[in-house]
Amino acid sequence: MAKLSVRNLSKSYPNGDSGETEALDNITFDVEEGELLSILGPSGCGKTTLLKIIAGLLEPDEGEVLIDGKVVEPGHNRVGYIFQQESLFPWRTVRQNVEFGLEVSGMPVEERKKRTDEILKIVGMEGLDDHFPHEVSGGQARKTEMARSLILSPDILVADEALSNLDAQTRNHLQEEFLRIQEITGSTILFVSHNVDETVFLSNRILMLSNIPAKVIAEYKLDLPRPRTRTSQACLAYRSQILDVLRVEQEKAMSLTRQKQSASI
Amino acid sequence: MLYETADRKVGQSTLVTRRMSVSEIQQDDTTAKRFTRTKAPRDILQWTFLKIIIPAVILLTIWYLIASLTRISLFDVAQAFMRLMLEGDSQGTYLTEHIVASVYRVTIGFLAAALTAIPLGIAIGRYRLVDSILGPVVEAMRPIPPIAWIPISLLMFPANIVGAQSFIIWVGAFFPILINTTTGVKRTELVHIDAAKTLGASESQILAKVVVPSAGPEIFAGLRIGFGIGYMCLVAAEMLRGSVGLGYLIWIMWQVGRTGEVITGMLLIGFIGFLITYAFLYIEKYLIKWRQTVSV
Repeated sequence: MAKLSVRNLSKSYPNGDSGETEALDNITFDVEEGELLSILGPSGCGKTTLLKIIAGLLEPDEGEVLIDGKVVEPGHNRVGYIFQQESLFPWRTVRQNVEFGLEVSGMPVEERKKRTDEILKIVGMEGLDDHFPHEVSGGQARKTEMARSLILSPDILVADEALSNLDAQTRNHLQEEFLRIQEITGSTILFVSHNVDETVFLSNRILMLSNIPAKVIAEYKLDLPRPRTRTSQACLAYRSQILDVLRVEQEKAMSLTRQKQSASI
Repeated sequence: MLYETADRKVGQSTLVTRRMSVSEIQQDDTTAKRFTRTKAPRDILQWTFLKIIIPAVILLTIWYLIASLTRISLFDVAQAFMRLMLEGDSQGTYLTEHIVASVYRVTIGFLAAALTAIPLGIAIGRYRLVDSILGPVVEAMRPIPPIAWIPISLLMFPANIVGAQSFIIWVGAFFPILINTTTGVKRTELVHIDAAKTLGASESQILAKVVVPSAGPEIFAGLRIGFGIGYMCLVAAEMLRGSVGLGYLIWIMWQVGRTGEVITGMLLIGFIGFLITYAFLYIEKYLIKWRQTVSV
């Protein structure tokens, strides 16, 4: 049984004057236990909407989300979420941020501290625990966010362009950290990105979404051993194959906008 | 000794300080606090000069000008001050009693304002329905100056002058605290609320652990501004009725032509307001150390 199943999700947003914008169009896919599935798609294609529905922060118009074969209702907290923008609570130290989930669950202080120490060590943030978020680097903030989610042992960890605002070096480093931490925790991860290189380096499987309304247009299974070398022949082959499909999609989107523009003139 | 310690610590980062053993930290606690403000003996001098001596000189000059316009010298003011302290006013009420009465009233009114305006501000800021219902009510009441409430307050509290005066302070302090709290709560970043939800927080936990701390700086600014306005209203309210308080003192002394006492009362009102405002700023700086924009 799949860890996470997304069944026929559709979602539209009301837009200003003229009706609705369709963001998601009948999206269906599964994620297996312990898998790292990447979702690749152009910016603004509804990836964040999809993740928020999976995490129970938004309600879909149609379709359902199943975890371990059971439908989950909005408002559940079985999905750890790493947001696109920085989301640490700036008034809490690194430790207090990581503890948040345990604190609201009412866990006793002693045990909370023990679990927090463990997870801080796993992500490599021990010794920085009494710093405030504005005192740590962007990469360290991301690791703290991972720790804050992983401490609750969520069924699935979703990451929304988690590394896209970092400089190239930090991003490469954090990609490796992501894999290392996944190996330790055995988490199931849904990783959203618009960066082809990143997804090829990380994923067991890649789903490609179209421009909005987003549909699944392609799927790649990457049977490459880890650790992977970014510039290996196999990785490059996947990258060129994916980039070709993306280019076609991009051209389609552009000709569509052109049509709309000429129609409105 | 102080200079020696300060010199030794110059150039050490806070990280190094953190790694010291507990006993060392306790030993250095007092100097460390001083150290965070001032880095070297020369800076201490410069700091005293900039932040104490120059402002004091400017203040004295202003007061000298005001006093000389009223044909009263600062010496007369000092004499009036001593007389009020040692002998009291014409009814034998000592200056300290006036001060205690004023501080007591402003405290009651201000606490009442904080306890009503903060919860209401949170509700208006967080829930759109409450905002659409109460927002217009607030906006319609707000333009009425607190002092215009004085006649009504005397009718509302016929036998209770402290109640009437505290009510005026409450009116004055309420709206700044309310508006600031509402603004702060509305500015809570959606991503923080979403993050708290995915971590399993309930609505009341989101309020207590995300919304309130996030709006903390604005709430505190509201308290500071609200206190200032409430305090001003107090002096006006005390001028109308009663037999004690700094506002009353100024009014009664003006009526009997004792300008020295009037200026003494004014200076004390200013000084107490100054002390309380600084107390606010220091508490604010401590509570909101995660935001680096508060300057003391």
